[in-house]
Amino acid sequence: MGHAGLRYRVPVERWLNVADKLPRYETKAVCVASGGVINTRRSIRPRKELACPVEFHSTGVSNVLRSLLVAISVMILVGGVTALASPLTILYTNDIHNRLGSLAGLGELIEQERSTGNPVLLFDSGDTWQDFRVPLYAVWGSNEMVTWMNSVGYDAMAIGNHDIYYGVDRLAELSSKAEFPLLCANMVPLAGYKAPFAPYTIISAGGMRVLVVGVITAEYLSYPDYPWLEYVDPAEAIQGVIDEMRGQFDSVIVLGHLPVAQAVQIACVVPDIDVFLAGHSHEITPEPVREGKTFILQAGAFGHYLGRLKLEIDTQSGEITSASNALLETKKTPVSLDRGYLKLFTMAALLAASLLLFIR
Amino acid sequence: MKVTLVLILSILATSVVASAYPHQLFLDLPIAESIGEAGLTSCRLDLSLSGDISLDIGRAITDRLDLWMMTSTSDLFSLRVRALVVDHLGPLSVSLDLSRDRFTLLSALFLGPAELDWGSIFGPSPKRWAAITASPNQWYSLLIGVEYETRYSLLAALRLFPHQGVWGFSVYYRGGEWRASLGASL
Repeated sequence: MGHAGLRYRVPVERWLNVADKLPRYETKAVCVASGGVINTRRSIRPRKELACPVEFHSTGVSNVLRSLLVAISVMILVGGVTALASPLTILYTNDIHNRLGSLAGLGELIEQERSTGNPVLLFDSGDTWQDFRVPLYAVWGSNEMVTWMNSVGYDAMAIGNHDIYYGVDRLAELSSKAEFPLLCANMVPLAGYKAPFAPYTIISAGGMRVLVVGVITAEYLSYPDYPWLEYVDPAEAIQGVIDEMRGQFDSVIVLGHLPVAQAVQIACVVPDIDVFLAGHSHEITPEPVREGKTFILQAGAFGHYLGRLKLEIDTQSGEITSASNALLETKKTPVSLDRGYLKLFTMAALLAASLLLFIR
Repeated sequence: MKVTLVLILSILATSVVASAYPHQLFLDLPIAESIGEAGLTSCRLDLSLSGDISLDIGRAITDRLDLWMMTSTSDLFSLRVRALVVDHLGPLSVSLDLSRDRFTLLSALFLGPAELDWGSIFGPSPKRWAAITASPNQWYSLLIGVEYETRYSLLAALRLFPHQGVWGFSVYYRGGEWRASLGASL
């Protein structure tokens, strides 16, 4: 199942603290399509290093990656620069849940990556604008999150179940403020209704056309709140977009607000996906989970980590020489939450008044 | 006679409104949350084992104001206006519901997979109720709650949304009897 020729090397050069609360993805998932166990590598045990380059002894580089190589090679030749490898960096977050204290640290890391001058794509896999488990973040912080995401230049974001808990109007308001596309391909508006999000977008990076598709879990989504949205199976939705856009993209990235195990199952039946950035389950994948050619990744939760997938492409041989994933730990910084507490107080006062009238 | 009249009205109404909004299970115990965008028409048909029938048709005038017309075997015609006072202040929504002889204060805390609704009716027959609805996914919701007028009674419901949320079917227990309702929206 596509693992031939892969050799894993666990580096010793990076030693990062791992937040013990975050679950690791156990790499054993059943592939429904093939009826077999597709990921038989060892389970990922807690350990200190979170960066894991993966070396390829290519037995067949995909056409997509060849296209990428050719595009980058042309750019390099035109620029008169001699280079052996070209990088493409994909930065990813998920399930930040309004944790504003992590934003400065995330922003710093993103800036560092951008300062290398390499092509960088920045994505989020949802559950970013709300957290009902923490009163402050149930009430406040989503505007601040959107402003920050605009400032650091997110390229796209998938909707998570939490992101729609404010209601349709609020989602539309946040979506209109976002300077990046909000994606969800598997909640389809019925005829006559317009959703405040798009199923996919196409982004140009490093001379390559990247099709980015968003999907959401069925878990904790309540139809009565979105009666005019029809839920579609995520694999069907992604395949539908790929079929519709065939010929107009060079690679496919899925932003899926879905656990890693479900992402593996989807990658199994939709083999065109190059990178699947998962979410929802707050898992960390220090090593990229592979299904066929698909890299499946998740960066924990609450902004503890910025995920970084670096692809190195040999410009002369046309092969990917290495792909490395790292979870970069963020520093927490104190932030002023005064306006948030004011809003929380207003809500608490209204709630108390309502309860007093109720128990009069 | 009343049953026949209500049935005729139901047939007429459902020929105009093809589906019924399923969100509000108990129309006399409304909920605080927004019905939807302006112009949304909703309808709900409710049946009990004892033969009571009621039909409710609602229209969102704006996204904060909706109007409901109701007919049933016990009350041939009534009109209600609901105004959304607080719309999703975080998880909190508060509404006022006005009808001929009473007004109702409604509150809801929407906590994702769980929603808390409670309300008080002020008027000649004061009443209070509270309920929690759990929605593990799109396909069904479970509701449990209590209602108090002169004594406490249990509310319980299973709500099914077989295809999409535009129409849904509910089986519920209230006031010591089982009832069923079908609802959708246009």
